This record gives sequence, C-alpha cells and structure tokens, in this order.
Amino acid sequence: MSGSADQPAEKSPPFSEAEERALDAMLSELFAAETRGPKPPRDFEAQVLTLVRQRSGGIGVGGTASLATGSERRGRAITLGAWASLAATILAMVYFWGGSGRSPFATNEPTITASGGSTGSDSSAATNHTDAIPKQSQPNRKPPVLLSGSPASVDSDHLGVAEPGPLAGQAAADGSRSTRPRGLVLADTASSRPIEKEFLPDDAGLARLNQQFAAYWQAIGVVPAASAGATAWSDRIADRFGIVIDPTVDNSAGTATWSDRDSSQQVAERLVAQLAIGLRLDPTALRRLTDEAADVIYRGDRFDAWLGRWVRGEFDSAEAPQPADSGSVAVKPDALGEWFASRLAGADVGCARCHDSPIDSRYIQHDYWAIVALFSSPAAGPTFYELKDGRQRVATPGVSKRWLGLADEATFANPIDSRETLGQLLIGNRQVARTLANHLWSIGFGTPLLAVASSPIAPPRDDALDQALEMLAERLVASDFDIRAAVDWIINGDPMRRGLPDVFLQDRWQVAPEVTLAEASMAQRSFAAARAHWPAATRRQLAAMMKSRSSDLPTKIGPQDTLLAQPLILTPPNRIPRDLPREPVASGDAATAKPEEYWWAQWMADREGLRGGWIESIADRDQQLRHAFYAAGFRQVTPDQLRLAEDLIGSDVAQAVDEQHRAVAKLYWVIQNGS
Amino acid sequence: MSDEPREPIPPPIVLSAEELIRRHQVGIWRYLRMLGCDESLADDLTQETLVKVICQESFSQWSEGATAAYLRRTARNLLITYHRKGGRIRTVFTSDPLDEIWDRWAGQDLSGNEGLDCLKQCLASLTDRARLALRMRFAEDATRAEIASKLRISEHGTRNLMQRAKQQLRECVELKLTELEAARQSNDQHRRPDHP
Repeated sequence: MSGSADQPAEKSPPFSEAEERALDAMLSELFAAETRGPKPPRDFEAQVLTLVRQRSGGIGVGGTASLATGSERRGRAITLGAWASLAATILAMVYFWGGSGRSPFATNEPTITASGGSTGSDSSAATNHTDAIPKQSQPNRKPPVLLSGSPASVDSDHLGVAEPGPLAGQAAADGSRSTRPRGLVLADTASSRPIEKEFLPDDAGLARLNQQFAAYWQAIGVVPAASAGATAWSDRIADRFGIVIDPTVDNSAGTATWSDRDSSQQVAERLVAQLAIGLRLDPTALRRLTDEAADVIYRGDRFDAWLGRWVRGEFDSAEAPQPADSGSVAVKPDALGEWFASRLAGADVGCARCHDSPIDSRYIQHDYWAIVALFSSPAAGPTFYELKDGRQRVATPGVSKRWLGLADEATFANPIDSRETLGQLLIGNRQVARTLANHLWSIGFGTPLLAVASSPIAPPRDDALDQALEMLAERLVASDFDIRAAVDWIINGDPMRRGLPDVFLQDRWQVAPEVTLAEASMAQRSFAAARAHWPAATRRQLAAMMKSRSSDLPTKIGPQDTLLAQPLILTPPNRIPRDLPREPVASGDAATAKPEEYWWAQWMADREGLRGGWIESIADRDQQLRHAFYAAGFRQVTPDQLRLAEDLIGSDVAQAVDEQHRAVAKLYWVIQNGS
Repeated sequence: MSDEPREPIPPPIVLSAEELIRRHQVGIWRYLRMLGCDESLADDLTQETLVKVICQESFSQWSEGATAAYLRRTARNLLITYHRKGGRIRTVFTSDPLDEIWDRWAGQDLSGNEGLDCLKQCLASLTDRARLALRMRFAEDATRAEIASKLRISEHGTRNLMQRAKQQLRECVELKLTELEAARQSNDQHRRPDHP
C-alpha cells in the first residue's frame, strides 16, 4: 500500500483517464451493491435467445445454437465465392461479347469515364447516348501536386495567381489544367462521380500539410494535445461535418462516405450557412440553395461554377421584392456586396463600410461601395456613401481585380464591371479557393484557419498557417473545386485528430492554475487541441444557457466572473426565436455537462489568453464598445446593446491597462461566441 | 542446446450460444459501464451485442480472448451508433486504453469479478475519510461541495482526497491482480506432469 489517502502519495505512474473511468465504473457498482443490497447477477440468456430465434428463425435443434468454427466458415465462404466469381465472369463475357460485338480488350475506342462509371461501350452506343452522361475524353490532368506550398508561391499582397489570357481562353491558357469544360454540370445524372484518387489525401501530402501545423505550433510555443483516437476522431467529424465514418475500418484512403448523398447534404447545409452569413435569407431560399449545393457536391461538380451562378444573379429574384417563402434569394444590395467581398473573396471589409481599413490597406471604402453598387439594381438609382467627414460620394459599380487576387495594382482603373463577368472570373480562382477552404475549415474547427486581421481573438498569424491554407486551396483548384476532396483533406489532417487539452478532462479546469488554462486556450485556438463538446457557437446555445438560468435581464459579470445572461447583448428579447431547435446534447467524459458548463469552462480557459487587439486602441469608450460589435459583424448597435455592454465590462474608466484589455476582450468574446 | 518441443496450440473453444451468453454477458455489461453507459443502457446494449454476434454468419470463435475482444468492439460500435442516433456527441474519448485496462482487470473469467473482488478488499485499506468521500460520491451522487461540507475541508481538498484514494486503489488492485495471476501460473506449472 502506498500510504494513507490523507497523506501526499508517493510518486506513481500517472493515472490515465481510461484507468480512472474504469475505476469509477467499478466503484459505482461496488457502492451501489453496498447501498441497495446485492442484486442477482444479470442474466440475459433467455431474452437474447428469444431475440435470436425471432431474427433468424431458429438456431438449431433443441434451442441450441450451433456456432461454426472459423475453418468451417472459411470452407463455405470459399465455395460460395468461387461460384460467385465464376458467375460474374460469365455474365461479363456475355455482356461484352454478346452486347457490343467487341472484345473487351480492344483499346482503340474511347472510353467513357463519367459518374455512371461505365466503360468499354462501343462508339455507336456512346454517341447515341441520349440518357445523357456526356462523353468526355480522359481529363488531361497534371500529375498530382503533393502540396508543394513552397514559400515563393505565397505572395501575401496578391493572394491569388494571376490568370493571364482572355476569359474564354482561361482554361486553355493553363495547359496543366483539366480539359473538362469549365462550369459543366452533369445535370442529368443523379449519381455521384467518384473522387479521383489523385485528389484524395495521400501519405506524403498529408505529411506536408501536417508539417505546416507542426511548424506553426512550434513557432507560437504551443504543445499540441495528445491524439484523440479513432472513435473520438470520427465522432468529431460527425459533429462538425455531419459525416459518419466508421472508426473501425482503415480510413487512410478516400475517407468519408460520399456515395451516400446524406454526407453531401450535411456538408452543403453547413457550407451554405457559412456562405450565407449576413444575407439573412428566408428559410425557403436557404433550403433551395442548400439542396442545389448538395447536388453539386454529391455529383462532384465544380462548386466554383455554382458560386458563379449565384454571383451572376441566377438565384436572385426580380427587382420587385418577392414574398416570403418564394424561394428566391432577395437581399439588400449592400448585404450582397458585403457578402461577395467577405464570403467569397475572403476580404476583411468590416472597416471599409465606414472608412478605409486601418488594419489592412487593401480594403478601402471606395472599393467596398463600388461592390455594393455593382450588386444594386439599376432601378434603385446611384449608390451613395458617406465619408468620415460627412461628405457624400457616388459609388462607381465595380470590383477591383485585386480583391480576387488578379493582376496588379494598376487595374484599379479597370475594375470588373458586371456581375456576369465577375461570376465567370470566380471559376478556377485561387482566392475563391482559399476562401472556400477557409470556410470548410471553419466548419470543422469553429474558427477559420486564417482569421481576418481584425479579429481580436484570433491565434497568432504565422506563415506556416498561410502555407497550410494555400495547400488546401491548391487541392481545391487541382480537383476542379470538388468540395468532397477538400473535406477529406481537412478531416484527415493532424489538427482534426487532436484531443482535448488535459486540463479539460474531467473537472480539472476548475482547479487548474491560470497559466495552464491560458495554455489550453491557446492550444485550442491554434488548432492544436480540440474544443470541449463541440456545439456550434450560436445565439441559440447561449439563449438556452440564459433560459436555463431563468434570467431575463443581463447582469454584469459578477463575483468570480460569473457569466450570466449574455444573450441579451446579442439577441434582444424580441428577436429570440420562439422555437429553439434542439441542439445536440453534448455528453461529457463521465458526467453529462450542460451547455452553460461548457461555455463557462471555455471562458475560464480563454479569458486569460485573450487580448482586445486593435479595439482597445480606440480612445473613445463609446466607439470602443461599438467597434466590438462591428468587429463581430453587427451593422448597427442599439442603445440597449451599448448599455448591456457597459454592464458587462463595467464603466470604471480608472481600470488598469491590463484590466481594460481583459474587459474589451471579454466583451468581444461574448459577442463573437453568440453570433 | 536442444530445441524444446513446442506446446501444441490448443484447439479453439467453440461455445454454444447459451454458453457464449453465460460466459461473456457480465464482461460486456461491465465494459459498457466503463464506457459511460448507465445500467439500463448497458443492459440493452449487452443484449443487442450478443444477439448481433450470434446471428452473424461470419462470426468465428478462434479463441476466447479474440471472442471477448470482438464482443467488446461490437458493443462499443453499438454504443456509438446509439449516441449518433440520439444526436448526442461524445467528447474526445478513446477506448483503446480502456481495452488494455479491461484485459488486465477482467480476470480469467472475463467478467471483471476478480477485479471487483480485489477492489472490495482494497477499499478496506483506505482511511475512513477517504472511504466516506468515495461512498458519498459514488453511492449518493453527492457533489463536491456536499462532500467538502461533510468532511469540513475545501472543495479543492475533496478533489485531491478522492484522487489520491483512487490512485491508491488502482495500485492496490493492480498488485492483487498481479499476485493472483502469479499464483495461477505457479499452480499451472505444478500441475504439469513432465515439469522437472
């Protein structure tokens, strides 16, 4: 024995979580028996045998099941297998020789490689195909690029690669790309085209991708958490992407189950939700977009082409506002403009609505309103915007090519001046690929891989992170924007396999020192560790937390930093949805944690590591609070929200500098997690 | 040096369905409890595991250990499916280390009774305070605050007390199981007629 439990124990091997779990279960049983008295041992024999009889129609003479040995079953399997093979061979021979009149070994006829997967038909059958899998030549793809991502290929000023040549010849100009016509949608087939093997994660490519993360973590001094294990990994993917992966099979090649349309639907829901942030579409329109996106993903079609259609206005309503539930995507032009800029071009335009961005000089107010004007209907008249000093200007419709990473600064004089052209230019665009990859990453991890520069709580930026995003974007471009391939890369990368920080296991965070919590928070924010429970950070979640505390009014963060009733800051009472959709209940390690416990635990970890960033540099207190909302995407800030923000962070202007940093970061964290 | 003749590989033990159920049901149930199931869920999934395996054409009994591992895996997958259907998301958890621990604690009869018996003996070696804390926690579902109040210590102290107690129990159980295994091996050796 190692001594009394009241005395500090001698050093012994660390008590693993699995051991603790096992011991807890046994202690529960032991004490339950002591308390309630010994129960008869469980005996399921009768029930199990009854069920077996029902399902299999009997299990042998006298109710005794005969379970064969392995060798007996092998013998049976071999015999059956042999017959099956023979039958398949005969049928194949009959098909090829009887149906086509040709030997299957002839090689001078073009093969059809399409989503139907059929091969080897004769030419007459191919040209007469009216059930419309178009005949395609074998794509002339370049050899798979194993995520080269050399530093020279990343130019932080021009986040894409210039695509020279006329628009029509854009595909032809780059001889290394696929010769498949761009924007082709296999409209008449409902089946899924298998992802081409060269675009799936391979060991070498994954190693390169993971190297970036290893370099990043080293650069910022973060120790990654231990690996989570196959089951936890698949659970996480199911939670974040809605894709079910069997953790017991080898998933090293071609992971997710894309043959099942449900996977595509799940990803489409999440991706369209990401893309549509800020548009406030009615549910019918959102559903329509989601279903279309799911079809595109399922068929393995070009997602950039589908986005191009959206930008060109194919999903828009006519000029007159449409009734609700019409399924059309009718939104305000400035919302559309900002949507394009931020959700498709990946630009940080939060500042540019009101003034030139002080954080990133690429984004100027003139350009922002030019985009808004481009998306406005001509019938609405010229688009005016106001300078900081109150003067008004008229915006010239157009999108600067540098927002899509095209060409150079001189093209300021030649912006893209129609939605039609803009939609075309999206196709094959690397900047759009980066933005899409970032959205997919957000789906998987809750935050983008590369956050906007204005995000006060983003992890430190590093070239390695940029490289990683560039690699994912490259894969997307190479695969002709096959979203499935991009998702496979993300779910197979190292960050997705990381477990929780140690301090989040059991209830250790409750008694952990601050520095440990801050380290855990940084690990999570830099994708070196998982976040607990993984519910989506939504208003609904925090609203549910507020309801569970039976509090209608906000209170400031009180003793011991209790976080109470924050949702009112984010969602005024008249905007809280009446029917809160049921969120997945996140179950904890041994006990079931309520959502507010998750938020509280996460806040305890995050708070020490957060800084207010550029927000805290704003001298005026009122503007500081407003900009915390603006940075989180709010367009306007109501007096009520300002008052509640004051309540949250306190109005003591004599706070020490550090306290001010924490207060502002606290406010932004609350707003951001609820939006 | 002469080559010692290898011991012949024993033929696989093929159990009937009834024998399979009797032999493994308790072990599966305890394993599911270790994975976090409550008693009712463990009851349901234990039955489902056994039914699924017995009805399976391709299930072969190579050895008792392999059968037990296969049953545990099936049980675990059923639990995952159950959670997914209910929209419940498990936090990060791996059952591979748990399998290792189970292999150590399950004992020769694969039911976990040996481990439980050892645990019962080891509990007696704890101090009264530690035992009370654990009883309150596991038998009465008391909160840390309640335990702290009863013992007149801080919550932090309560946590430490229980952690140390569990650490002590783990070491004690491991020791006893090792002693049992050693005793078993010694008995086996003494029974061999050709042992020098």
